[in-house]
Amino acid sequence: MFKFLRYINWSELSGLLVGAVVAIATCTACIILAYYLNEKGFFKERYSLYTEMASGQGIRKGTKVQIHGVDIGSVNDVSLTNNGLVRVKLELDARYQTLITDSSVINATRDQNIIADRVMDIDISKMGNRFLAHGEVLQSRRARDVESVLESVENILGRVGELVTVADSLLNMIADTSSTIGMLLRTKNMYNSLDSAVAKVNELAENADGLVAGMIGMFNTINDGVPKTMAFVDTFSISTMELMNKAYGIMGSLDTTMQNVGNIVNELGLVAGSAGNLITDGAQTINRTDDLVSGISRFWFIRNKVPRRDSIPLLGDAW
Amino acid sequence: MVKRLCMGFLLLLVIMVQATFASSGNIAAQAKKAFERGRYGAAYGQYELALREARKEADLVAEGRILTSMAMLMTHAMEYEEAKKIFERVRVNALDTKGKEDFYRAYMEFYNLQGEYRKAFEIANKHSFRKPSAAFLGEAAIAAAGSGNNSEADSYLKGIRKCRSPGQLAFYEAKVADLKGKDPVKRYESALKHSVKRNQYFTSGIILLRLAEITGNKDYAARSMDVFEELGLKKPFQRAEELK
Repeated sequence: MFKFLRYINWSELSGLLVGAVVAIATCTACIILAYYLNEKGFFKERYSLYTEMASGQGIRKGTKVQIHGVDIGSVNDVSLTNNGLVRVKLELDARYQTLITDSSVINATRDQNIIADRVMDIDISKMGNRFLAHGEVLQSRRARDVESVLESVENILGRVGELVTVADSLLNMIADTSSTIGMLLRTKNMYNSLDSAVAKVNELAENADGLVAGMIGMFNTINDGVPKTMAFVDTFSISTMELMNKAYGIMGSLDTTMQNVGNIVNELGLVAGSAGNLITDGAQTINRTDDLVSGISRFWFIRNKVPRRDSIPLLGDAW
Repeated sequence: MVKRLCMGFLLLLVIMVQATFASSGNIAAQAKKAFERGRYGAAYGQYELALREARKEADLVAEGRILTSMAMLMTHAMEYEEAKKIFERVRVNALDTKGKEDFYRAYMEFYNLQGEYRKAFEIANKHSFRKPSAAFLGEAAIAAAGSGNNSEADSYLKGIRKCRSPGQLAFYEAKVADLKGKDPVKRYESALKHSVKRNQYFTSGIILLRLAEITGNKDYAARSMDVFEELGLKKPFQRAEELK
């Protein structure tokens, strides 16, 4: 089927060679592109989170997002919200979604040293109630780098400067006898007032001493009166006991009365039983009478004159 | 105390007797009392209960008497088709003499009230009893007078006179006189006094209705309406209402 070729005519195969080279080059390009895209994370599954910050802090599109120094994604977009906050869109690797919760916090920081590029670092030290889903907002805080510290120090120094200014004004006012505070501190009036206040406090303490003495007397009186009260209570208890004994006697009498009533009821029951027997006897007598009447009614001469038992009354009575 | 105990025992005795003898006869007696008080609806209901009891007892005499009474109540209510059905359910041959007499008396009244005097007179001719009641003789007299047999009518009236029932005598005399074409107003008014005195409600209503027809006096019609309204008899009430 195949025929061995002794001589190769390359001019005839030039088209084939060109095609082979083009195909190999295309495949190589595809492999390189795929590798590159894979390296860039193009084939990785991703999800988006948003965060809002007071200032941009040098964050740009492409800024890395890290957890504990490990890259997990990048900043995809930086924009402003309607109320002037900076809104940052984060594209994160979906593998790490189970690490970022509603308690996680993001902040800008320097990656390696104070002159390294800024990155976004997510603090996951606090465990939240749930994992953040695609499109949710991650809470943010101030950047943790030298610039932020310097900014804070600058603010503090500004506040210290204001404080020094105020203290200086106060000292000037004290030094100035024409001002209220200066007059107050430099005259004896305030000290005299303080002296009289201390004297009043001393007097109050002495009066309290008298009050305490009076209370001691009152407690002594109570101590004297308590035994008498206890004796009265004792007497009262004895009287109450006697009263209870009498009530107990009354209850006994009532019990006896109830027993008597019970006896009467029993006797009435016996009477009722006798009456029941009487009724039974009466019913038997009625039955016998009924039998007697039935017997009499069989005589031919009175058969039609005796009314039948339970006969149906007729409506056409005479009137 | 003793009095109360005695009353209690007496009540107990009554209850026991009532419980022991609650049969068709007792229920029928209660129905008769209701009828005598002019409570037609209650009476009919009691008779229905009594009829069930009588069937349970397999007592044909009781059943026949109860059915006769029910048919009579239906006749008074002028529900003639229903009354006819009930009459046909009675096993007449199984009835005792008094029951038979009452049955034929009710049947004659049924025809007389509809003006079918010949049919009623046929019954009177076919069935005679040794000492018939005033009601039987009266219905027979009406049937005879209505069918033109005046001598028989007089003969029946003579029989009523022996029964010592002045009220019934007055009523049937008035009715016969009316059928004979004589002036019956005085007689009807006399009979009305008797029926009113003896609480014969239906008869009073019928007399008032006839007086209203004869005299044209609307007061009679109004009184008749009142009677039938209170008795709960719809059709007689409507007849009286038409005359007002």
